[in-house]
Amino acid sequence: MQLYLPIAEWPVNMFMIFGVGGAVGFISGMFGVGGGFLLTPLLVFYGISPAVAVGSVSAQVAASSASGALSYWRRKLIDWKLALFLLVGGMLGSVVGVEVFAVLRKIGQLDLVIGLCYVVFLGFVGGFMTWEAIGTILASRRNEVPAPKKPRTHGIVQTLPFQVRFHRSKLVISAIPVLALGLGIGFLGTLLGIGGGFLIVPAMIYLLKVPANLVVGTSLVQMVVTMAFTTFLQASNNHTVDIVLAFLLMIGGVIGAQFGAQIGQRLKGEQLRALLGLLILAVGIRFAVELVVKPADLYSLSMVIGGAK
Amino acid sequence: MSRRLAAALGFGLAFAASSATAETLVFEPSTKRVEITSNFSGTTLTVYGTVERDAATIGRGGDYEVAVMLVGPERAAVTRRKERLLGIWVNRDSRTYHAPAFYAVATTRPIAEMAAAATLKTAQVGLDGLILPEVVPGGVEVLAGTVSFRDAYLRLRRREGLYAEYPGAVRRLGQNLWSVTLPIPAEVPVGDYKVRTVLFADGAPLAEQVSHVEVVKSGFEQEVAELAGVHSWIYGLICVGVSLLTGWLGGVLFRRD
Repeated sequence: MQLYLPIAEWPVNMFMIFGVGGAVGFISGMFGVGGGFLLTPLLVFYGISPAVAVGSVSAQVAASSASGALSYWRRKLIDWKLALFLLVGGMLGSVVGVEVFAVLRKIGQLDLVIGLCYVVFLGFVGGFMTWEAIGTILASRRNEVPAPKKPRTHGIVQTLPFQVRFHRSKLVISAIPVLALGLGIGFLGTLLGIGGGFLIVPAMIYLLKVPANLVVGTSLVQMVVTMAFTTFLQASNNHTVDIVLAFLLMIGGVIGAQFGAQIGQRLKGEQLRALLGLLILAVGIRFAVELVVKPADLYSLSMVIGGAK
Repeated sequence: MSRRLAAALGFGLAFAASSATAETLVFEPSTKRVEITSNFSGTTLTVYGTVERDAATIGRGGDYEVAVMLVGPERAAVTRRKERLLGIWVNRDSRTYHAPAFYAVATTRPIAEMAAAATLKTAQVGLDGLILPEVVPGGVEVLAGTVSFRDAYLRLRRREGLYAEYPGAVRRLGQNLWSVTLPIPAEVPVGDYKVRTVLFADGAPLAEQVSHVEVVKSGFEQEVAELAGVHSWIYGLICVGVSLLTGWLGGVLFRRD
């Protein structure tokens, strides 16, 4: 069924969008990530302008992380104080992100910067995740129990000023890296139309040493607030949020996530990490190929600001 | 450098003077208003017209040729060219054209056979002669321009389906009566459209008539677009509200624990 999107000014097949949302929701439910890094490129591939895709996906990410955060809230697996610090940084990053987004779009380098960021971040995180997970799988095949890594007690996060105590996480760390992490994720999330779950979760585990059981819930809270704020900024400043598109994606995503979560529970942690790592790596490589291979048409056309395109 | 534009304008005035005494075109589009609703998937616009002449006009040997153009609102569009920089393809050079966002032309014969290229250009009939003013610092000007960018712009517009030529699509229904049905794709930009018809005989333009058609969003589409454009912060709050509510509902409906 054809549906005309009011802000994207583009007709889409309603079931197609619903299906894309569902498929990405399935993956996000299975791996416990937002899936923005898959959704935005898919929408662009389908013909939605990159600006509207990024804006609308931020609304979708806000919705899907709200669902997730709710479930962690019920199980009381959220460090609210840490989340507050992260989201203050996140909102600042988002303000900067929206401005940079508008400037890049104007000078015609938005696609390039998005592409480069995808290559760097997805390539790095995907590569690391795959390598680590495959190492674990091979070790368990050989019946080796990997030696538990010694937690470093004296890192840079303990020595910087503005030490803050996070009771729930049993941590005393400087506020600077926490705010900086929030800021970085908020900025990238706004620019790339992703929640940034795949970036913030490893950073919280390896850099801030937040207990593993609190990481996901806390990062989800920061994502809900940052992405809701981003949605508002993109809608009011850049006019790039298509509520009809976002709503279709949300419905598909919420349903898809339920099935994904059921499959995810049947797989082992390292298998899940290896699969997710490969997926992230694949998306990163696809972007790299696009940047390096000579495009079929060297010319491209885009509308000068003013409304949706 | 805006000589061409001036020539086109002068030509228009000359028409007005000559058409009073010789042939005139009379036509009517099937609708004055194309409404884009939520299930809009493209439509067509039919134009009927006749060639009228007063008693004093001397009968001509050749047939009349008619060109019908549907010209969209002027929009600025940037054409960018990628170049290889440090191994990756990057947008470098660009041209910004202030051109119609939509341009469809239908004719009774292949466009090139109707008149000489220069005549077609002055009459602004066909894509080959379409004037593309460039946005330059301080205004809009018609420049000699770069052929490669112009060609790329027209090619990309054609590929989007927003520029099109339909040679031979204007059907003669009688000696003086003609009609054409122009397809309007689903991606059609909203705005005010001109329907221009030009009458040719023996390779020379004889008369020109212009009518107007508007393409508007309607109903829900229009309300959403207006809210997003005019009261954008209210729209932003609604977007956030819908997102959080949907997320919350999803969390409650599919509670797993």
